[in-house]
Amino acid sequence: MIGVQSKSTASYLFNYLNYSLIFIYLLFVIFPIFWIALLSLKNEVQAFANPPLFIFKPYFLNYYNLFVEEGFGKYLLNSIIIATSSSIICLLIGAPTAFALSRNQNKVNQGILIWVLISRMAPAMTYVIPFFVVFSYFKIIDTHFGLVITYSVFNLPLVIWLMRSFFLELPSETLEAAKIDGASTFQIFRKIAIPLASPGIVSTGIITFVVAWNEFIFALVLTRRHAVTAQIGIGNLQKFEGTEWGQMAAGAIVLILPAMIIAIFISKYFVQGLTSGATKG
Amino acid sequence: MFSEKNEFRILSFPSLIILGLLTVFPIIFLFVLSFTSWSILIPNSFQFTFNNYFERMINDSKFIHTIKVTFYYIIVNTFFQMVIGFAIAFLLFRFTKLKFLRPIIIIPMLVPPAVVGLMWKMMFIPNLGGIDYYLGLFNIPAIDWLSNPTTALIAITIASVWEWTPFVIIVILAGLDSLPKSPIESAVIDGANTFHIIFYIIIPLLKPIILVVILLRIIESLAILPIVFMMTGGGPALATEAINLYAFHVGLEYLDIGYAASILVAFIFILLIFSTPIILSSLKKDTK
Repeated sequence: MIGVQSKSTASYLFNYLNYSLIFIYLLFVIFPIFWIALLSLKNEVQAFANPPLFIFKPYFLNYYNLFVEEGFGKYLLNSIIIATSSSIICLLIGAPTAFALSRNQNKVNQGILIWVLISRMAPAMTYVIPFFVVFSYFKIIDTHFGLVITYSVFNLPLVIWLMRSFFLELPSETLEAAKIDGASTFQIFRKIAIPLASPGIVSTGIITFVVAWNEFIFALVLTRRHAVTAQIGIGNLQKFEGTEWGQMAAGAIVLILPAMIIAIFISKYFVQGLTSGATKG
Repeated sequence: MFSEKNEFRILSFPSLIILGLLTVFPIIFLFVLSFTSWSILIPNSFQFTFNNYFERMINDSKFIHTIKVTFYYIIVNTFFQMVIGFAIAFLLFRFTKLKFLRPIIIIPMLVPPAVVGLMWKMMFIPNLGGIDYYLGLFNIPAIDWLSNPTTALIAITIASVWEWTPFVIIVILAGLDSLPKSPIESAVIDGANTFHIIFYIIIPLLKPIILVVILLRIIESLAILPIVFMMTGGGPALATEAINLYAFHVGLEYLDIGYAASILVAFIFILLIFSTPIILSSLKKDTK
């Protein structure tokens, strides 16, 4: 490895400096979340106390009011329905394409892949106004259906790109052997490729779910009241007559928790999907 | 049954049709809209006037301002994300004992952008967020970060560095892990120090990955919206409003669709100006 462990004082000092850099960065990552978690348990007076309070009587009413008075549960449910169904649709449509593109590499398919990549990279804002106009025309603004369609389309390139890299990793001898035995491409896809690539499917599913769950711009423009997702719902807690910061902090914590759970328990899948997309792209 | 080629076609048909309809069509529609004088507030205004929106844009001081803000985000946000991300990735690579920290480091990336914006908004509110209190310990006077144009920009940069540095770290780390060990080992034997190894071996070897990461960061910084929307809403007095948010305000709040569409066409051109050189240089690498 690079770190040659010479025992001079200078190298101790250098290591010490490096460890403290990592420590400072970790503090920067953790501190805001820790602070908001504290805030979500404080009432108005405790929240604005100067110097800040670290030991106080926790005030759980923030969470109660968030769900009972503000109806945050409905927003969460909307988010879950929309993110789940769009991820499933995306995988169903995208995986066969990814398989076909991974098995059949020629100039046309290279072009298709680059097109897929570019349509993924274009910022959502450039699509929002045409979508808004067309969705208003068909009266599907503020429906779950509208957002599910939108997210399925915009996650499709991601699914194709990620699944293709997972299908490329499959042992080609197995697939060739099945072909020689007379299996059709559909059979190879369904009976061999899908089971073998299932870890990849899981990690692609998680990534598309997270992307749909976190999406902001389309949800902002294409929802009004009925299909509002949690990302927009939490913003609606900011009110002209004064914001309940404790409630907002509670909402933030509710939305950060899934992120932390994903990060700690299934980060392996997530990182694997992300890096295989980025480094092979 | 089908020939193999047709089977591939059937498998890829649905998504290519959907992608074609829903990605190419909106962009064409956007260009068409940019030639109309359509405003939803004015009845019967959907007419092809071939309005000279270009002239209007050049004379629109707000638009020029939002371009400057966008360039600030592209350059400053991307720079800090890359530098901090590379440094931390290198340190984590070097100290293999710290592998257990990786899951913690990716948390910010998974937090919804809207929540990142609200979270940092709360952090910067005097007394509520405590940042002023801790700066006060170092005798830095308390200021209302989000209501001063300069500090509001800095606050947004801090939030975006918090959110996106993990992405840089994760991808660079994956690149570092896949590097061949022998050039580094022989350089160590030849007596190269850490800085030589970073600048003469690791960076050249990682160049393709670094370029991709920079490209993705630039696009993301260009399209920065949720953080700004939640933290400042573009204020104080447009100080933090990027071109993206301006198009949103013009098109979906003042409902001046025609003008908003032409702003977005300009936006696409800015995107191409920044991304084409990087795409070209990474393609060149491939053909070698």
